[in-house]
Amino acid sequence: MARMIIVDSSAFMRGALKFIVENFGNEVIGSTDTGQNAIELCTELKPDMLIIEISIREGMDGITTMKELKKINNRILVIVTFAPGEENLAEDAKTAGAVGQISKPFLAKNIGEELGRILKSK
Amino acid sequence: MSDTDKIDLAIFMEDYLSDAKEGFQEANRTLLALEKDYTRKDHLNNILRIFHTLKSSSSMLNLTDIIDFAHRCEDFISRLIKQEIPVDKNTVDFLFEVNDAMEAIVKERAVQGGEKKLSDATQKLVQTILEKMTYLESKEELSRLGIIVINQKGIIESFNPAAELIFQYPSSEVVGQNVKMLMPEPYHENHDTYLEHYFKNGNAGDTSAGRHVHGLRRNKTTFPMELALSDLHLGERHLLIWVVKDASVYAIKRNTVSEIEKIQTVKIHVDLIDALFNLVGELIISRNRLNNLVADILTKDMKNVMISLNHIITELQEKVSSARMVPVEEIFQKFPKMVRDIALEKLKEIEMLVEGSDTELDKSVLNEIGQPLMHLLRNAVGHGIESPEVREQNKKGRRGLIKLSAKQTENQILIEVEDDGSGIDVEAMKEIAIRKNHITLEEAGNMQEKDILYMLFKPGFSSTLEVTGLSGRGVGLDIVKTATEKLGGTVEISTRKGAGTRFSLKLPIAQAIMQTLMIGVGKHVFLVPSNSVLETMEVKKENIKMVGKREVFILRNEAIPFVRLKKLLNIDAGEQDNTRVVVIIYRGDNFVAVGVDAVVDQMENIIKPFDTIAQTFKGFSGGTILPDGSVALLLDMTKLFDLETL
Repeated sequence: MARMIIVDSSAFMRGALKFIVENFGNEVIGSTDTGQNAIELCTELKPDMLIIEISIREGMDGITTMKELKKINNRILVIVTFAPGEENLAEDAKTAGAVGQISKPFLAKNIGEELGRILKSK
Repeated sequence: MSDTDKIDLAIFMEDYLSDAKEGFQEANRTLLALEKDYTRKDHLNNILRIFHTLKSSSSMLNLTDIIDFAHRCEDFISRLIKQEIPVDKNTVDFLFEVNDAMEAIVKERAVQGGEKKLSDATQKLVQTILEKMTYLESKEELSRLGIIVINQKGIIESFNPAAELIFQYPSSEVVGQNVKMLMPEPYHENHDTYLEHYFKNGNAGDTSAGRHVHGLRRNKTTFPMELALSDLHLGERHLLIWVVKDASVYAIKRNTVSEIEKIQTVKIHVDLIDALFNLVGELIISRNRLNNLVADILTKDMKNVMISLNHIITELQEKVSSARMVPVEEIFQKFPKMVRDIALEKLKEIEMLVEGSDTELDKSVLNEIGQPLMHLLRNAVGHGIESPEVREQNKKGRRGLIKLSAKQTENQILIEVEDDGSGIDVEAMKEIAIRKNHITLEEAGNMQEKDILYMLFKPGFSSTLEVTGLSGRGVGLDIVKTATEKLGGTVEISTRKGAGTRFSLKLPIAQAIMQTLMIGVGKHVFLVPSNSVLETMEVKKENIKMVGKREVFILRNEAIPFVRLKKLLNIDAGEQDNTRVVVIIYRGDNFVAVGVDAVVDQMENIIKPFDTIAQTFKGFSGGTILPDGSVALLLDMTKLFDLETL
């Protein structure tokens, strides 16, 4: 039961992710398409978890955004989403502190499992 | 399968579609940019990314055919990026088609979901695209390889068609010659030694496949070339095979520079240029006044200074004028996409050619000419070019051609919009015009083709024609005429039924500073643009005759309309007419004789055009301040001709 913010360039992806995570009983308190906005939202709304795309189309990329957010709130849980070919970036994200990763295109089942894993271990 | 496996995301179709549409639009923009510079890999990467994202979202919704198609497209684009397939007009056009096809499938899927089969039309479209893709992938690779066989003496024994294209020689000119003819310096010199070395050692030595060298074409231009060498043993003969790939497609495409030129430009805000231009104008007016004032009292030294001043100012004026010159490309660049879109809309197949985009025009002229050109192009697509079926029936190619060109001739700029469409049916126009009482039968008899065509420019005329093709053709033409004439130019139409139509806009290069002839009537001075004046002469009674109610002037046995300016402008009504001089004005083939009291002078003047409020001054298109401080008005040539011709 986490409070989440979703960051992805595609409106479709944001909608789909929101739908799925809410289906697993979480609450999406905000969503946006740029890293800058994400930082603002997180500062304001103080979510428990962030699901963020690694290669955001406009502006700061996912990993940079994540690092900035960690400076503000070290305890925020970050899951990165990545496209095929970006596996090494997902590894970088893990090194930078991401607790989970979801590959695109994702199966709802995988998301459920990943969320479950992360939230249980918290 | 549990519920969590298959969450139905169909409710997100709208978002999916809107994301996809954004992607297609971005792809279109990127392709248009790629069309201008084929070397930009970043554009290809951008398109790859767009398709990749689409593939991602589509897989979330399980739209397998889109996923497969997108994947295939990604592969194709990757090959373009790796330069396995060259990026040229052909491939970029194809990419547009691919983008459109993808959009078609996505739209259809968005409407009917992922389950049902795609419509036949869409399936066929995709099929065609895939076939073409495969064709491009295999064909390009093979056909572009030039193959040249050389013997031990370096003499060319065979030269395949691809090599002919690459070097631009027919094989007859090359076979039997030394292969050195295909090499520029420094390779040229070293080749004999090289060959010797090669044949002695019996292998290609340190040249493995993919050597980057330069080749020499028939027209003496050089180009970058990838060269692979191979041996061939035919019986006792030892031959060398060159496999050549023209790498120049990947080099700088634009034909402006082959060596890097140092172009130094400074960005200047448009307002600043305008300010400079106006200041120069004021400077010229003041100088003229000064000339006038001091004419009598000049000492020799002062005269020299004035001469110097005159030169400097003239040069300054020229330089500032040229700073205002902008290449027409600025407005031309948006037209290809516009034409493409309208053509698609109207289901026509059109190829557009743009020539002379680097021709320069004064910036203010350029601003005004965009709208008219847009109208002309729209009309050409909508009403000029016929549908592909009709064109085929008439043994024309399916694709219509629209050509937009700009060219500088002497002191004019010629911009033309030409199409190879159905042309304008002048006879039909004439008949309808007579029927609708625009002209009488008698008048029609006296009219030449260009006069009839000219009627198209009358506002509202074409809408009364009610014949598709003709009525559409005339839309906006009055705007074209007004805009062109406001700029001091003319517009002409030439057409041939069944073959096409051409609109020619002739515009003066520079604005506002005009050579003018100053003419006097009573106490007033008026201006006429010098380049509209054919000649001036004394009025002799025997040259003036009456035809019906109007006066005409006999000029070398030809009667042309005669206008007494005093009467026309109603000056000093009641006082005696002192018309002594006639000024022959011309526009195209039309002449008017304007009767005035005297010709005062010829000089350069800054013409300040009237703003919209002052344009109630009918008959005048601007004014200037004369050296003595008084105001002289510039006669509006258009009005003058309209009065006197049709």
